[in-house]
Amino acid sequence: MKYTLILAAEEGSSPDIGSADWASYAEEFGAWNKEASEAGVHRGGEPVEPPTTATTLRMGDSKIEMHDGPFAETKECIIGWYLLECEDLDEVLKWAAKLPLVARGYGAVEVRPVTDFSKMQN
Amino acid sequence: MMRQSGDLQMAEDCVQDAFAIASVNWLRDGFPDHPGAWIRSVAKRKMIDKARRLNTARNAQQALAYETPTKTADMEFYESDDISDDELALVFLCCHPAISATDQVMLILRLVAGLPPVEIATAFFYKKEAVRTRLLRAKRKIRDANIPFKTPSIAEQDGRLESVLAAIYLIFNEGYLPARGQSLQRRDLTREAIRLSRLLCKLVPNSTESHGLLALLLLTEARSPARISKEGELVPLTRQNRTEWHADQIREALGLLAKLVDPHKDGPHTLQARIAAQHALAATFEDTNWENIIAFYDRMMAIEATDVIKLNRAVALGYAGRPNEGMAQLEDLADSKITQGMGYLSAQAELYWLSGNRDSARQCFQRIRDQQENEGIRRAIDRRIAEIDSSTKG
Repeated sequence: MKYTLILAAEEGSSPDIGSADWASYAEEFGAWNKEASEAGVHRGGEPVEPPTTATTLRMGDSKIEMHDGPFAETKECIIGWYLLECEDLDEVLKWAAKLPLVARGYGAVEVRPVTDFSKMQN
Repeated sequence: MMRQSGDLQMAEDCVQDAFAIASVNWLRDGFPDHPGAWIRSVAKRKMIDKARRLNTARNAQQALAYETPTKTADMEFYESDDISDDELALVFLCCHPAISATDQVMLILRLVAGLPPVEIATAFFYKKEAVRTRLLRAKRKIRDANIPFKTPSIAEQDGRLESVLAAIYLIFNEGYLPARGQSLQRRDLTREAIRLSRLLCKLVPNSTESHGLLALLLLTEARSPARISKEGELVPLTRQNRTEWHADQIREALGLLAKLVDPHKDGPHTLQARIAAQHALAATFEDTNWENIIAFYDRMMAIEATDVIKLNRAVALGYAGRPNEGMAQLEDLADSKITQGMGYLSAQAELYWLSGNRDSARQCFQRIRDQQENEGIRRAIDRRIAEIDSSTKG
C-alpha cells in the first residue's frame, strides 16, 4: 500500500545551509533514503523550495488567476514529500518517525494513504 | 458539541484523592447502528455480551442484598475463558494512537464492550448524527489508511498500552462522575470499565500498569455505597462512612498491588492506586497517612511532573498540615491552563480553608458552585459553604 509523506517545518527551524549542523542533518537524510531504498519501501521523494517561490493557480470569475505564494498561508510550510510503499500504517509510521526532520524536532510529517481506485468500495 | 469532563476527584470531594484529572473533550452524539463488518470475533463478542448480561443481573441482585461476592461473573468468565489473540488485537486496534482519544473510547465501547449504540449515546449525552458520522469516519480511517488488525509486538506494547489504559480510565471517569445531569454515578459505565480492565489484565498479564489500573478502579468503585447520601448528595471523602466501603473490592485491589513488587515498574495508574490504597487503609479521614501519599506523588512527579499531579500534591501538603507549602505550589501553577479548571478552584478553596482563610475559601466554593452543572455536587458544595458560614459565626 502506498502512502504519501508530506513534510512541513517552520521557516528557520532547520540549520543554515552550509553549517556543520546542516551537513550532519543532510547526511542523516541520506542515510534514511538509503535505508528506505534498501528496505524496498522508497518509491520517490524530493525536497521543495520555500513558499516564497510558490505560484498558485485558481479559476477566477472568467479566467485562471495566478497568485504569488502558496495556497494556504500557514506557519508550517511544506518542505518536501516522499512516496513510500508499506505493508500497513504501522510500518509507514515507523519510517515517518525515523525521518531526521521529526527525530530532530525541526518539523512535522503528515502521512496520507494514496487513493487506490481499484479498491474503492463506495 | 464538545464539553469537558472534569476532574473526578477535585470536583467531587474537594479533597485529596486517588485520581488525577483527565480533561477530555467529548462529542455528544449517537452511534452508528452497524458496528462494521470488519470485526473478526463476532462469536467472541457474543460470549462477552452474555457474560456482561449475567454480570448485570447478578449485580442487580447484589445491590438488593447489599453485599458483594468475592467473585463476580465477569471474573469467572475471564478466568475460565481462553481469550484469543484476536480479542487483544481488537483492543489495540480500537486504541491505535492514529485514532483520536474520543474515537478510541467510542470504538472500544462499541466493539470490545459490545454496548449497544443507544446505550452509549444515552450514557454520554451524545447527539446521534454527528457521532454516527464520526464513528463512520474512524472506521473508514482504519480501512483506508490500513491500520493493521494485529497484536503489537511485546516491545511495542508498552507505548500502545497507554492509550488503552487511558480509554478505560476515561470510561470509568465518566461513569463515576457524569459531568451533566442528575446522576452521580453511571454504574453501567464504571462496571464496564472494570470489566475491560480485568480483560486487559488477562490479555497482558505482565503489564504492571494494567493491574495498577484495575486496582485503582476497584478502590474507587469500592467507595460507591458511601459517596452518595440517601438524599442524593455527594458525600466528600472527608465525611464518608468507611465501613460502608466494599471490603471485597478493596481486598482484591490490595492483593493486586501487593503483587507488584518492583517499584521501578510502577506507572502513573499504579501510583494513583497506591494513593487510593492509603485511603482504603485509613480507618477514618483523620488517620490518613499524608506523608506516604506525598511520597507517592513525588514518585509520580519523577515519571512526569504534570500540572494535575502538582495540583493534587499541593492539596496533600495542605492535609499533611503544611497548607502554606501547598499554597506556594499552587502559585507556581499560576500560568498553567489548569487554573481555568474546576480542580484548581477546589484546591484553592481547600487550601484557603486549611490555612484558616475562611473568606477566600468561601469565595472559591461559591465560584465552583456557580459553574457546577451536577445537582448532587452543588448540594455538597452548599453544605461546605454553610459549614464555613457557621464556623465564622462561631
